[in-house]
Amino acid sequence: MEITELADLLIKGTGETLYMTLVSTFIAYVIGLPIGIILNITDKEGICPNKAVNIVLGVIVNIIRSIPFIILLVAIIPVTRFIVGTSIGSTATIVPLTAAAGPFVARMVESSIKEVDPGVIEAAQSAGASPIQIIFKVLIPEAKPSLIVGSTIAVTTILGYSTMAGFVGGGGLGSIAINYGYYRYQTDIMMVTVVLLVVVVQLFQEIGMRITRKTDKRIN
Amino acid sequence: MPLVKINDLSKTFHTANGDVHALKNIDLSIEQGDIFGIIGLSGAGKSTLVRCINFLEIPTEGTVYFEGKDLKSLTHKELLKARQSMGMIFQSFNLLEQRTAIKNVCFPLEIAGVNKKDAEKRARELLKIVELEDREKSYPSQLSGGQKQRVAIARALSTNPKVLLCDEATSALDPNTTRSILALLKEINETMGVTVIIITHEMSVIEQICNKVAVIDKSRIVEVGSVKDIFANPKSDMAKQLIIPQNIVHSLENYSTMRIIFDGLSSYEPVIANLIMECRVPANIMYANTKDVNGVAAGEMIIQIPVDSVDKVSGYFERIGIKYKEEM
Repeated sequence: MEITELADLLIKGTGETLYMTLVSTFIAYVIGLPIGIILNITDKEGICPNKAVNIVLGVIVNIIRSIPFIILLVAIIPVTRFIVGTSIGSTATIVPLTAAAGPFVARMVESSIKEVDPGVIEAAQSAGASPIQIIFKVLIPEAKPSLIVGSTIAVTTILGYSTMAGFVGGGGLGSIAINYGYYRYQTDIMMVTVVLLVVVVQLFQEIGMRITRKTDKRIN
Repeated sequence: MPLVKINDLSKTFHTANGDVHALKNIDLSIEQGDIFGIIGLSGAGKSTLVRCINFLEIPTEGTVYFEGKDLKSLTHKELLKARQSMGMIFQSFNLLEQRTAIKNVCFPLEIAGVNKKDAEKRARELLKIVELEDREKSYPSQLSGGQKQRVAIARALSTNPKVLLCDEATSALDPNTTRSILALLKEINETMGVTVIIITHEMSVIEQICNKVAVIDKSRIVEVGSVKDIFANPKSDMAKQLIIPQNIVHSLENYSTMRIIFDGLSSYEPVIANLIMECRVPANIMYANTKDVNGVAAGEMIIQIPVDSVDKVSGYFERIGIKYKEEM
């Protein structure tokens, strides 16, 4: 393989990986953030305790989280076909990635919100704040630094999942590593993709930590 | 009409280890303009009681009236509105960590739907009252404990509440800071007419600013009245325990112990020196805690005198108008 050809391949792969990871993370948060908040506030210590809602949501989240990703990937192929029209390529991979990451994100959000000092919530209640006002003016803003740390962990985890999707034609760096490195024994190409993945993870981690440091007003 | 009236209130928590009766048959009346202290040891139920006043805890039985309205009869929306007329401050300050001082003070105004410009104007006025106008852009982590409590006070007052509930508000502060926070609460009570309800386990807090006090022991109110009366003549065991200094070395043989209370006598009068000279008794001072408050002596002293001179000494105290009690 020509060096320029290889470079094109790797650039395209990196692009696909970033695309899958970021879009899946975004959709996972659209789904997981509200679920995480509902899990937190319906808890018996929460601001709107509701045992039924809490248990039902909790069980659903746990069930999806216990399915190994590689199995989930194959199991929901019909759903993927229905939504995207195909089960191959990076856009198709977004569906199983989101399905796996949504519940994971929900739990991350739940635990971040749980870190908010109950005393601060009580102070808001004593000022006459409604549950909705507490969610948007207290829980989310006060948990923001922790939510950002959580999203950094989520994005790197989802990146890891996306490479696994390479086994079923998911596209991105994972596919390149598997197709060239695993099936064709081209260890050098596999090494390069792994290095690229390390670089991407490092980048996400660094960006996440910088944003956290900037937003958190507790450390000065 | 009392501002806050509590009728036969009880609160029971159902826990895994059985029912916990936090409050039993509480009756209290708090008038507009009072600085009302509620004192008791930890676990007596006082924090639960203050949370029943703004319905952060819903009483199991009994009624809470605020401005004549039965809080139980209010809809959820009306209750939230009523809470805007009740400010609250806490032992651990409970400021929003991710907001600046001024944004913290704005918080209850945002909740009440006040527009941003008016809210900030009001917040600046309040920060000025609590003497923190130069720290409006500071985050809580950049402020000391006393400063945080001042911000919390400004926040609690932002919506012009009728009453300020203080839950152990000075318990996390050092003695000097405690004094300055209490002085601020008194000033707010006098200048803004805000009724103050103070929960504490420290008698010194009650002495310094309260006009009325309720003593709470094992979930019940055991004594209630003016601070002056209860301080001079505590009746319940708990009030005695809180007011009369414990662990005093007792009983020299043939000596009897007397507790004398200063409230209103000129602090320039040398009471003990005169006692010794006039009655010719060897008075032994066991404990003294007296303060000069604007030229008036306040506080108490415990002395021991020979048993046979008790009548003489009592007569002397009566003549010069000092309250005393033969104790122990």
